Amino acid sequence: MFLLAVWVVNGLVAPRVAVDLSKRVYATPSAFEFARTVEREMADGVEDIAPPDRDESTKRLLAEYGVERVEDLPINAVGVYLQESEEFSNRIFDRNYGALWDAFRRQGILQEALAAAAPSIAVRTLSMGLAGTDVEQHRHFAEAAETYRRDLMRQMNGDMTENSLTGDFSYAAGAELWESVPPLEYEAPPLGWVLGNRILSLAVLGAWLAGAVLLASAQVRRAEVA
Amino acid sequence: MTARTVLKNEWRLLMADRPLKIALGLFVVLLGYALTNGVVWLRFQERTVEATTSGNVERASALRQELEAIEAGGQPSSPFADPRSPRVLGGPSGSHTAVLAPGPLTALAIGQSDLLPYYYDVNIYTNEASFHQNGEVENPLNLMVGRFDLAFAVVYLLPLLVLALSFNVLSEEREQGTLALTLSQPVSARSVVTVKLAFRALVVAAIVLGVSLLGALATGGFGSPGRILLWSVTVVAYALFWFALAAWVNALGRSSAWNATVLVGAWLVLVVVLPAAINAAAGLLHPLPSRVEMVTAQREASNDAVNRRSELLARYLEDHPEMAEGVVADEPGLGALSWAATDAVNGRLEEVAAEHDARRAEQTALVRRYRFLSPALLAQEALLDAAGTGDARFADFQSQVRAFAERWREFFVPAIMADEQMNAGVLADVPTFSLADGDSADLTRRATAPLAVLAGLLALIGAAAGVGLGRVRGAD
Repeated sequence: MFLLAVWVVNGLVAPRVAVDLSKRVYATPSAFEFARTVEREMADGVEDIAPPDRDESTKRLLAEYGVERVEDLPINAVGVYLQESEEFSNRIFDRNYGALWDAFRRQGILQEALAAAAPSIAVRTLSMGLAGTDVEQHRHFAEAAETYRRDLMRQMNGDMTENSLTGDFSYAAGAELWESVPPLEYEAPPLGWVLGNRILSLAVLGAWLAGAVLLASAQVRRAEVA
Repeated sequence: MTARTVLKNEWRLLMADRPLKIALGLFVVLLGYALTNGVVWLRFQERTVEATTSGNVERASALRQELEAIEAGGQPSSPFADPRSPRVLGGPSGSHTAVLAPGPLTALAIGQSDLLPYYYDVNIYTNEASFHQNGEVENPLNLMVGRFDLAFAVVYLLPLLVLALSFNVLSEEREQGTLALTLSQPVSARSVVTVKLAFRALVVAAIVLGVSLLGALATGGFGSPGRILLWSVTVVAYALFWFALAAWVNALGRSSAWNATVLVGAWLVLVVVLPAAINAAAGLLHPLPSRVEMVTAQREASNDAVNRRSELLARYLEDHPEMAEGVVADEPGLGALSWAATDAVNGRLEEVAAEHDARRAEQTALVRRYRFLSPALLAQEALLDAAGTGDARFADFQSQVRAFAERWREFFVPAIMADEQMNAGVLADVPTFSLADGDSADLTRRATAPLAVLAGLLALIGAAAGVGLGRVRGAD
């Protein structure tokens, strides 16, 4: 009966309690709140992240190239502005999604620590890590994809900037531009990286194993003496 | 020896049994914890619902102000977001958030409410892809594990408490040698076990229903007496099923240890293994198409549609002759062309979504067919339905939002086709979403099958236990 109770607490109760606790300690915003925050910051900027100013950008380009009118610029000022907008929204995304991912990470760490009370949590995190299905590896891929997207945008905006003039909307790049874009080559993180994220689980599970063995051998010895 | 004597002695025994008291106390603590969790989640959803409602009002009033300013001679804030354009006023910046208020007993069962979207921003571009997006922002790890709510405690933990209270209800008497003595009185083994279990059932039911009612009371759920009744009936029937099972196993006349092993085995199979196996089978036999398919279909259809806008417009007008009036055939406006493209993309998405929904329906059908094998699945379904956090209420909400999106399009698309401009005057006529809670009416119909089967199982096991106990003699 005692072993059954341990199993139930370990397998059924503790994982869910760990979820609730981690959510309570590291709260995440509601989807609605999150979307509205991103929307608002994209419109108005936040703290030291200001939305790009098109007039400022043009003025700077005119000074840089020593010309009076945008039409005289050797590059397309719209391309520069588009890239500036990209950089701006990237910073807003990094800020918000970064905070969200960090909250998820902290929730995960807290749950791993709670494996001290229920080893099944450590087994779960370790097996998910080894199977390549944990949140950290998902984030690893998501970040690789996002980096690829940003490089792609930079390349496209750069091409527009260099190969067309301001106010000219007739420019169309050839197939070779697209062909010059490298495909996304994603490399899954090595085992060391995966286990590095799971040191806490390894330690807790090791402690459980050592504790259980020590306890069992002590009990057996006592039984022998008796 | 009367039933009253048995009850009185049972109460004394219970009070004297420390481990049992601890188990009961722990159960009460867990129920309280589960309820707190549910209430926290309910408040979280309520805050979102409030924010969506005030967001609707703010958006509408900002648009009104801008439209009035333009009518007074001002300029739109951006030439690309001129609210006079029906594509802008009916588009994302003018969208209306349709929201599903939390189920009346969400505090008792979080259910699907952390997985399925409970609000949608509806605008003219709302399409099937909008309905296949994620709900809440949530750590995937947390979604995988699930929450600790009252429904979880009832479905998974309640049976264990019941079994702990009753696995040795008869076998212990035999092992202690008191059975022969008891049965030398003018009582049958059947009535002794019945009274003993009835007493335990009363204690368990009082605890669970007490906490449930407290939760309903604390969250204003008393407005739905039908739902509370369904919840209570399900809890009681489910608990009685496990008591009946324990009585039957006790009637087999084996040792307490054997009873415990068999009953825990039954719990493992019925509560843990079978539901997981049935869900796994559903996913294996009827896999859902990947979401990538939806994304790819949307992209391909969009590329294709942009290139064939004129052709698509002609086809659209054939399908919607009532729209043709406003469109200048020789030189259709940009709005009409782009709407024809949007409409073609939506059509393609509906095809992909229909495929997805068909797979999903097959999965549901499979689970529904085999849920009768597990009283845990039956109870879970009835409990979530009672709480208003089951699939059905969300499906009902989604179909209402679909109809609302249709009304929204009917309001804006004619103006888009005709390249008309809108003014502040139309704002009062823009459709708004109001939920018709048709779900409650269907509740009884939906709950009948699982409850009837649960009652059937209960009657079957109870009858077997009755027959078995009738054979028990004090001397055996």
